[in-house]
Amino acid sequence: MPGHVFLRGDDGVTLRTFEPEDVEFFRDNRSDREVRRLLRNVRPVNARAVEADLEEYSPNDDSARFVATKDGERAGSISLWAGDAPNGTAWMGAWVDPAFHGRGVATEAASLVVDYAFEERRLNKVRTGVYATNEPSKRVMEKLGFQREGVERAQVLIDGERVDSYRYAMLREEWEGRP
Amino acid sequence: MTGPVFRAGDLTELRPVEADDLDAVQRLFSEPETRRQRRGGVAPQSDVAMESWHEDDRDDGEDVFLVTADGESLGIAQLRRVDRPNGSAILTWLFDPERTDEQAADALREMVGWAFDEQRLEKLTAQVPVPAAGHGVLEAVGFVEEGYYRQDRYLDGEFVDVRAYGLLRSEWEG
Repeated sequence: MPGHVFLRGDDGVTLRTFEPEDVEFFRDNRSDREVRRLLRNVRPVNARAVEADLEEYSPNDDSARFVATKDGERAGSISLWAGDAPNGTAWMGAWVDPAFHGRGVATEAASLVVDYAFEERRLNKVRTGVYATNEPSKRVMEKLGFQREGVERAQVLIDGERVDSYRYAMLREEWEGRP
Repeated sequence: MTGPVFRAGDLTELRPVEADDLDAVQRLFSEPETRRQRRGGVAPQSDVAMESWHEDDRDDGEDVFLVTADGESLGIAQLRRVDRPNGSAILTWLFDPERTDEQAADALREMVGWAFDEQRLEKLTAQVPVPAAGHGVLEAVGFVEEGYYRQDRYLDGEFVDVRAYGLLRSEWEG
């Protein structure tokens, strides 16, 4: 069973606490080539490594990690990290299990995390990076109204090619003023 | 004792940071004019904090250098978030306001040479808040503007924008 619901969204999407029962789900996705190539996860990750990650992780002032579920099933993961309270900024990062691709999980999960960042954590800006070849994630960011603030040229190595990284960001005033 | 010269440019040197240099670094981390250039500059840095900063185990390639001119400290420079598979890193620095732009550019060129010619990195990025100095220095080193990050820092009671720059190994070699 996935952990407790922490944020409840539309279309059956919820964000839940990260629990020991989620280890296998994380391990399998972080090893899946389709998922890991866009995370730049180049090292093999076994269950023990995910457990160590879980043990090291505690929800503190700087970060928050969630398991995203769709209709009660584990569908992906989304986090706020590298939170910088004085400057009011944090990074958002997510992945979705390929079985749930194209079902609106990323869009709804990101929308919940942005709400949470501004309304509960009093942040001012949420940033994220999307590699140029990742069309689905670019569509998610644009659908949510994130602004593209820059292109880091040839920033990462994906399948042997140097690929640009797009920087997207949402400001609190833009999120609150959206239609 | 000042440490040995690790890389020498035309006007400046990069040296390992020795215990005797900590007072100069602590001043940069404390003076209002310089400390706020650091993202973490809101926290006061005691002697004890400086010792632990000095003893901090940094990953290979993220070592801090003391930048000097004729042996006198001008500040520090460091690569951060060195990412080996991607070959990327962020170039950061904190210089004494008395330094000249030519000295700053010379020291940053040595940092870039260390990153590309010794560590085989592929891509460096750097950021400068819009109200701060340093844009011209980065451009003189060959960095190209890659982004404009809105409300990315909070300085003197307001959010300020940041310009982002990048430099590729191929541009450096050219």
